[in-house]
Amino acid sequence: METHMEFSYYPGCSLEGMNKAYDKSARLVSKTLGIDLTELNDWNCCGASAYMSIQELRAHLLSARNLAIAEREKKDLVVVCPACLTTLTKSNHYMGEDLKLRRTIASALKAANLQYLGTVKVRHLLEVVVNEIGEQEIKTKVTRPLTSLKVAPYYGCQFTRPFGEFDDKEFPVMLDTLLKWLGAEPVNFPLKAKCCGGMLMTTNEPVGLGLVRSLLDCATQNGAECIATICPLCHITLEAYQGNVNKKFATSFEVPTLYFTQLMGLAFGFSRKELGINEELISSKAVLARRVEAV
Amino acid sequence: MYELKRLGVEFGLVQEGAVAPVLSKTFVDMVDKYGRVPEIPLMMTVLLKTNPLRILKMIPHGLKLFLRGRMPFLPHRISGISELQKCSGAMTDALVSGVHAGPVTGEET
Repeated sequence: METHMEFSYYPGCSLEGMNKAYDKSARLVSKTLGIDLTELNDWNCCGASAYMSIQELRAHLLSARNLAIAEREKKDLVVVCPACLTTLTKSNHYMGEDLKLRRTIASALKAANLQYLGTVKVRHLLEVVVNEIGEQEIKTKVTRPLTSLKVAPYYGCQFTRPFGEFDDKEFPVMLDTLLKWLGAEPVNFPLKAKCCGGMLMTTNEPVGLGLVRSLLDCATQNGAECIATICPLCHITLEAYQGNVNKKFATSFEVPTLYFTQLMGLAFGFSRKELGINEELISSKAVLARRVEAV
Repeated sequence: MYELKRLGVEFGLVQEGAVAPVLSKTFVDMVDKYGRVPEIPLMMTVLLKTNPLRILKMIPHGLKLFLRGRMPFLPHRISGISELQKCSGAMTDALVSGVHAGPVTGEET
């Protein structure tokens, strides 16, 4: 029997801008797997760490409004950005455990006739795909295996930290597992959960570039032909700053970066265009043509 | 760590020329204004406030993103922004007045 699951979907601000291909491919592969994603009506920014770090209470309020809307729809919330996952989950935990905070937020939500009772679970699409859909069903959807494509599975720092509810905090394996189901070859990638630099590119670029260089070094030394990402911020950092890394460190990296949903879509038989693969800053065309049939 | 950051902002203990506080403040202002964070206007505003010349260095990146349809310039304002502002205002009022919120509907006792 075909799977059918319904979730509210929270794309997050990044997917409206520089990472539209993540949104496009996430919706496409979810539909293929029987995961019905309905975009959360008029969602607001989760606040990420930038808001939380200086306005804690209001940051929880931002999350609470999103969770209240999802609760009204009686569905759990699927996100694709680990920063959104961490922020929304953190608020959910804090409001669940701290009565005073819960009441403060509830009172504020009431001003707009909203309420949140704490029933919504926030989940990352990768975790839903691996835990709910599983190996057997995913393999039946693979019509174009990513045979021998050597991929560095990159999780970034916020997928499993701080909560680590569904994978190992320091050395997650969920993406490695999925890549194997798609026929690809995940390479050993010890830095898979280390920071990409993210916003450091704006606040302290030299430090950020050093982090990107370490990741690229590690991936290529272990034979990766491309990097699979699950985070829009990691994705743009890794692809946009390779030129700056090359200039600063006299290196010659040219490693394509693909969202895990794009790799899934390729394996499921979708075209590059349907998955937004023609929109990346470092072309994956040559790598994919070498490894994946009829792309 | 966040608490130290909040205290730093509250007491003005911010390293002169540091970009991070400008980024955080601009981020918060944009979320409060639009309900979402427009990435490009955020970056441009932070760079204009801290290092305008760096914008020139960003032009090649920007051009590449633009040519691939990945560079929306205009911010999107959520339709419920007044609702969000109302909630935020109610929270601030409650904190200022020192009145603690009471039990809420559906709350487990």
